[in-house]
Amino acid sequence: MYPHERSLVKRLANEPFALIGVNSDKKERVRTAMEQNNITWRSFWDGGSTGGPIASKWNVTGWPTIYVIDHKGKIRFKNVRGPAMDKAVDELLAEIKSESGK
Amino acid sequence: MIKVLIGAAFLVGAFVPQLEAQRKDPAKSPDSQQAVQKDAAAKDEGKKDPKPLTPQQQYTQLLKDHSKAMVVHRRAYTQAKTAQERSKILRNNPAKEFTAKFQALAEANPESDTGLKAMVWMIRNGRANPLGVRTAMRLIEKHHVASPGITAVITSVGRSGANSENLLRAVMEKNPSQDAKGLACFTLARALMMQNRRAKADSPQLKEVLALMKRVQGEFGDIKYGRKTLGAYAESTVFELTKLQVGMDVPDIVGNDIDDAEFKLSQYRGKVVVIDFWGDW
Repeated sequence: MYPHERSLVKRLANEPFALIGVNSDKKERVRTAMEQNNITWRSFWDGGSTGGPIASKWNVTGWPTIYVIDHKGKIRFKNVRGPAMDKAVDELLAEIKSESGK
Repeated sequence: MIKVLIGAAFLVGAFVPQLEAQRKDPAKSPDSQQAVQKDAAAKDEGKKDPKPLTPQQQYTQLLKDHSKAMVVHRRAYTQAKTAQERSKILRNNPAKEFTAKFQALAEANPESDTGLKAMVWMIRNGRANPLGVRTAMRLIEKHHVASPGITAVITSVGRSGANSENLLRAVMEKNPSQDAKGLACFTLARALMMQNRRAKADSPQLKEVLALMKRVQGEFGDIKYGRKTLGAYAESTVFELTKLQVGMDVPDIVGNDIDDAEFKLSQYRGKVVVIDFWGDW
């Protein structure tokens, strides 16, 4: 997961795009993971376990779980991975461009 | 990931009987000493026929025999030299043989609590014998949908992987206990949710899940389940089905980052956002 996400974040560094994590690890472990894997994006820290408040509320029972949100705040895709995630994000970025071009 | 977790759970499950068996060294445990004394007493009494074991005693005996067989089985597995030997040993899991024994006990005492226990054993140990799971499910459906003892085993029934839908619906309809009805309602909803993960929220299947979960919230919300209540678990599914579907406005998340700085998902409005629930494992 990390290499793909890193390359996605790097590729879209100058685009209106953000990767936001919701992390279920103990704090020391997230810190180490972020340092070692060069994770630059921001995460909500969900209390140190998979039963944290955000994951519980969102009924997340498998990790990773992915939601893709458009610039208007609508949920557009769920659980897209790898190339499908890139495609979904590119599609939504193109929507922003076509709207601003009007 | 989920698969790995489930796999691990099965492994733990498979090892538990072995560990229990090891803890009770048969040569030293008070149980077996008593048994030895009893045998001796029976001999002293002369030629009287030994009293037949009650169903409950037969059940306990089967559990012990199974534990012993598992010890032998695990030992053979660890001592096996080749992958071929190991897979042969795995195919001869004692659970297969014991499923037949528990089934015989269940069928001889179908209405009793012991019968129900034997059926539940077949479900909990069903990985080596899926046919046994279906048989046990049928027996429970026939004899125990209204038994109070069913409450303790509904979760196992739901997790068995076999089609437990009819049984759970029957328990909801016919069991007099609120706990049993509530647990059956919740377990059915969760099983249907798992089966239809990829369906649309307005599909008939997920509409039923929503209706069942709302019923759990309304009628069975206070029933304890794990560390929470059925109501709390139902709420998460209702939230997912009513607030987290494609096309809906994403609910805001307000929380702290790992440096304890508060931020909100809604700060990123205007951007395309990937939300990634992750863990480093």
